[in-house]
Amino acid sequence: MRDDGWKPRANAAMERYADGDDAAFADVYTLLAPRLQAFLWRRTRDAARAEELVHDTFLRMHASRRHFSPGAEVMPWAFAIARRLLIDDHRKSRPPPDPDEECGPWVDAVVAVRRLGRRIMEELERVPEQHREAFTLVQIEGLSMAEAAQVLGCTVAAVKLRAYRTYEALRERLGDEVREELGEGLR
Amino acid sequence: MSELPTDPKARLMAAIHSAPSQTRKAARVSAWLILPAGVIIAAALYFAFDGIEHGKGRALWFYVACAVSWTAVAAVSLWGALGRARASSWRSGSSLLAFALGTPAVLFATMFFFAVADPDVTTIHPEKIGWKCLGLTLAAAAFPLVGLLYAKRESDPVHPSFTGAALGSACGAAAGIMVELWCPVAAPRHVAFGHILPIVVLTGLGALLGARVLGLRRPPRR
Repeated sequence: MRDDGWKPRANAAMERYADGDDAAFADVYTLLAPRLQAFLWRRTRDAARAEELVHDTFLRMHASRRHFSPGAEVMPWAFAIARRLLIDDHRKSRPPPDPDEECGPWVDAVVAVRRLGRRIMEELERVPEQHREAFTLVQIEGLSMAEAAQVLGCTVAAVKLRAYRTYEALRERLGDEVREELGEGLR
Repeated sequence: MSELPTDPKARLMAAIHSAPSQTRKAARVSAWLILPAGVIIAAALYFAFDGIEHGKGRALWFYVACAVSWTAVAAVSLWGALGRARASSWRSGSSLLAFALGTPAVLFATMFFFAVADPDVTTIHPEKIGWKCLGLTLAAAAFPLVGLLYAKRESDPVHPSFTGAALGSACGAAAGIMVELWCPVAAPRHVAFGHILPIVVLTGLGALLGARVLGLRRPPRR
């Protein structure tokens, strides 16, 4: 996720698409869809719903391509649209995710890590939403501080502060568990 | 009826081919038409209300200073509302809020400074409350505001109401240039009611309309 080589290609493809090259949208999709799918899956824990939201995000990107500013980065733009659609979707009172549900492809079969992942998600749910979002975008989705600031519509300093406070909260609540779980799991 | 493709990418491509969207170049052309149209409307209002004759009576320096300062603030405000941060498609919420609230505040402070610097400028009709100025500002700003909101419709997934507020404030300041050329009254109470209040009203209106017009909606299910 930290490999940034795909970002310039995605930006270039979106530039072409915004200027009228319809074929470039396939490249935008190929480069962004897996990342959006993972982001939305983590927030919904529902593969079908995440796929539906990815589809809607790309439809919105298509409808709004005239608003994509020259030289802008496409990933924060796409994530901001996805986040907005997700918020609207949550408002339609979908049932909350089942805590016992499958934790997903990012947690492998190692039981200790899996349990730890679930505990982190539980603790993340307890921190204020703004803090959680900043932390998730930077630490889990792999966005830079500047990109996360664009997605959230705030300053870079605010993202740093929110992510740091979430990190501190997690460390305070889970520090011992992490040491125990990883100690057992990695032994 | 043809069957929908099951592959997500193929389904998306089929959907976008069935609903073409405007390109950046086409949008830019229509957006640029708003500026001259707004200037024509403001000029029409100015001359309809006997602008040249009505604006007389002020010291020349005050006339020029008002025109220059309002034009400068309006230009900065429009840049703030329509511009974007580096590598982004929008500004941060705090920047937009600063432009939205700062515009009327700076304009009032400027006019108050002129009044304090030369109290003679406040002696022309200080009793006038400013209903006409208020109405003229709202009338001249209405088209640019609606036009820009339409041009930028569904463009802001992050803070549409802040963007709308900044647009309202900028359109109010731009319309205020014409009103400043038209109105010779500089008493602070008149300026606050007739010249600044409409900008505040437009800021609020922009925020309300922005939330509805600039925000993204989920595409309808097929």
